Amino acid sequence: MSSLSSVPSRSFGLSFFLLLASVLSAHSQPSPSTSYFFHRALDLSIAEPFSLDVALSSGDITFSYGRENQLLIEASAKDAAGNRVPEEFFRNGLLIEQVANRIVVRGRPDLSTISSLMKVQYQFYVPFQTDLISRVDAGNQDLVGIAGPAKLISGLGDIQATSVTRALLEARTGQGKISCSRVARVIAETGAGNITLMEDGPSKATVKKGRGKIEVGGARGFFEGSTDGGDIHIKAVLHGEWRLNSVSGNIRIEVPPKAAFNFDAKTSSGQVLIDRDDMQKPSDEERDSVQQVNGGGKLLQARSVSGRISIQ
Amino acid sequence: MSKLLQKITLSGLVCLWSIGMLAQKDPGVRGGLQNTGGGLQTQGIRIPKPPIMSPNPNHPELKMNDNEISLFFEGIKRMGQLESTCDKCSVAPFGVGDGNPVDTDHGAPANAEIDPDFPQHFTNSNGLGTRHNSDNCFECHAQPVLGGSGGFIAAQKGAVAQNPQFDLVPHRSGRQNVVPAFEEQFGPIREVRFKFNPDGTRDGGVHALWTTRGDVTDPFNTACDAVQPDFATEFKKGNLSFRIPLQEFGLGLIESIEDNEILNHQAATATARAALGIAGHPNRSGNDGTISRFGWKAQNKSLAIFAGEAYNVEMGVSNDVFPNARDENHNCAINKPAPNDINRVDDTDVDNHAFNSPLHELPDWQLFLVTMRFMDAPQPDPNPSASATRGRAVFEQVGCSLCHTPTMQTGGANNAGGPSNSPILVDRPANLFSDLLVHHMGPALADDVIQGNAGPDEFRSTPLWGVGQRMFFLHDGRTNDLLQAILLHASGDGNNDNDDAVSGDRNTKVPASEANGVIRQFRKLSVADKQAVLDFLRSL
Repeated sequence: MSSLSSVPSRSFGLSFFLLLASVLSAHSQPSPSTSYFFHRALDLSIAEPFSLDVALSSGDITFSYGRENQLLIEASAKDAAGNRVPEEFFRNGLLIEQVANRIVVRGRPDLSTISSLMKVQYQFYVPFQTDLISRVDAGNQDLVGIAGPAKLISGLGDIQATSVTRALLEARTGQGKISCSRVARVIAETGAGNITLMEDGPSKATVKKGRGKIEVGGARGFFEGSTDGGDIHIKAVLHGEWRLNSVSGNIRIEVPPKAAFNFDAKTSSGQVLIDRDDMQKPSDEERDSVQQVNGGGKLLQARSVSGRISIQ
Repeated sequence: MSKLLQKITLSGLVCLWSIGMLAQKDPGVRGGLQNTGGGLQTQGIRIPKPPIMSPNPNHPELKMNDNEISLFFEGIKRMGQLESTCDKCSVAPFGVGDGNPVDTDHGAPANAEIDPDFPQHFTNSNGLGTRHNSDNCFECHAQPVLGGSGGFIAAQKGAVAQNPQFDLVPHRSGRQNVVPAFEEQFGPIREVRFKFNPDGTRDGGVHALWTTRGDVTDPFNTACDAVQPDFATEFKKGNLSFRIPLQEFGLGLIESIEDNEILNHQAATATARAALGIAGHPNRSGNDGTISRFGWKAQNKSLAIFAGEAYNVEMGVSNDVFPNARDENHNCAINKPAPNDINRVDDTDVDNHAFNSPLHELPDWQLFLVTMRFMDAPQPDPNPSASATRGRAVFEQVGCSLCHTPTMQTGGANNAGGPSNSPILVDRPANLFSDLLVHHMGPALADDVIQGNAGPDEFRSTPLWGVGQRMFFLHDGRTNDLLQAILLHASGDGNNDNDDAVSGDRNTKVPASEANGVIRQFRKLSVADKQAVLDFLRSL
């Protein structure tokens, strides 16, 4: 079963630019019936997982749970002057293709040129069991309330994910912040920007360059974090192994009193500071510390070239 | 002569068959039982989650925020917890808890849960009460999807979907309960109220069906000696009143309707109502006098009260608003302090299941409240038949809509008043098909239970949204036939078969049903028009 929900028109290019001209010039005095919200609902089977593949050039995208048997797509836009753009902009500019429980959404090539001049917002209400891939060249992405797995890729823009409860979330942005909370498993990577992980399952976070920081709270399993010049701060119970790496950024670790773990910290030119009664404190000259704490347990490894490593 | 007799007999049979074929008929659960609730579980398909509140049609820019959505999902998890008698003896199933794989594609064994959010194994629990009606919210709210009304449950793939009160709940974990005759294998899920106490004074309260006696999961429960009430004797005396679970969809919208909206609808239809003998009045909170609106008799003032009461009455989980155990038999409460389910702010996190999250400080009953608040209204059939479309007009024409008010508006238009819970609930239509008032429903439906201003024969006009996928009807689930449910609205005027159906020896004399006039009009409809009404209702 296959259906093309939005069929390309051969005269699309001309009509689309005519539309844009009308959008940018005349829509400030719309007819009363003009709608500014694009709205499309597509029926889905509840017996099979749903797969959604989105690729857009620009715009802020939100994916959130709606209902199990339907994909609802909403979109709105404002031009540079702040005027709302009629829904025809999306009706003509979005390609939506459905084959059973797989839906692909693409922006027409012309859309990229035009939408870069606008503030565009997309909202996808998806089933809980959604397997999601989304790419946007420039724009923020926000995902909330699905089982996963999900892959969110932004060229430039922030990524936020909340309550992706059952499978891997892969979040990558060329430049921008990444925030994940209550995600089952995370791979987060930013070219430049901060990463915040709260109450996530096994996770890996990488800030490739710059002073972007990694902040981790309530880690629920394995964690590996790497920064360049940014700090790493982790405060959690050691449910899994931790591996923390920085070039020049400081590493600050907070674990509960009486926690049992194997501590292994080393810095080339920085310092190792220990502020706990249940650990042996290194001398000022020592740049490493390896010890079993409270009988030992999960590995807590920290490495820095020139940053300070502190644990409390 | 015998040939003539044969011809007459044959003609009669043909005639009867024709009448049967031509008679109006409830088309049944929309989508089919096999594609809803437990029918899906039988096929190994999880029951879908409840829909989250849809975009506000009047204000599309108003959306639920990430925190609200997270709380909605956390609430589903809490509702899905299979309660056991203690926290520490719980066993987390695959897909629940740290690091467990969630499905066979990701490392879980083949016998993993169909749905980790509706598990059949224990999860973190706050303590199943010594006396309870169920051990999990979704046992009674899974038709057609989680959060719905009472239906059937299949414990595993391939199992026959059936009333979970027939075997699953009463005998889980070795519990030694005797199943009363009124809990039938393919009948409705019923809870029981006693009409009167032994001394003849009014009771009206819920008497829990089950006890934890015999539960083998809790080593501290071995001394539990709680005994079930003698339902058989009370049943023979006509002292039992049954109620079935209502759906939870759209309740946030109902909560967001201002009292004035209800009263204005009542006033606007007063003349038409009076012409048909319909009155109706709000049930009101005894303290602040505002309109209460949840439950079969609109006896519950708020979703918070409703949620707290459900946790305590249905599962025996005492909580902030109902802090006392319903049975303080200490033999069944060793290592089990009450209230069982309250805000968890202890520093050591011992009672917080090591979640280490402020989110988890909210007790289950409060998250249940949040989830109910944000469950969307039932979605009607997007492609109703011509008959169903016509049926709506007939529904209004005969007067059904005088009590089953099609639409009310939530408060908050023009930023004045309205709900503060969330912008998504503000100033939007609620197509509930109820006036939220209580009405005299006659001796055939009277349950002899008084709750607030609702008398022994008074019931709230049940919201009809979602009725298209409900399995059982009326407060006690006495029928699964929508036509019968309509006809049973009439009694007490001496012209109805239902007048013979009144049972019990201590039932209070009550007036005739306010619906008699409307049902008289309904009975006069052609077969096609009656069918149209049934088709319309099943499209909701």
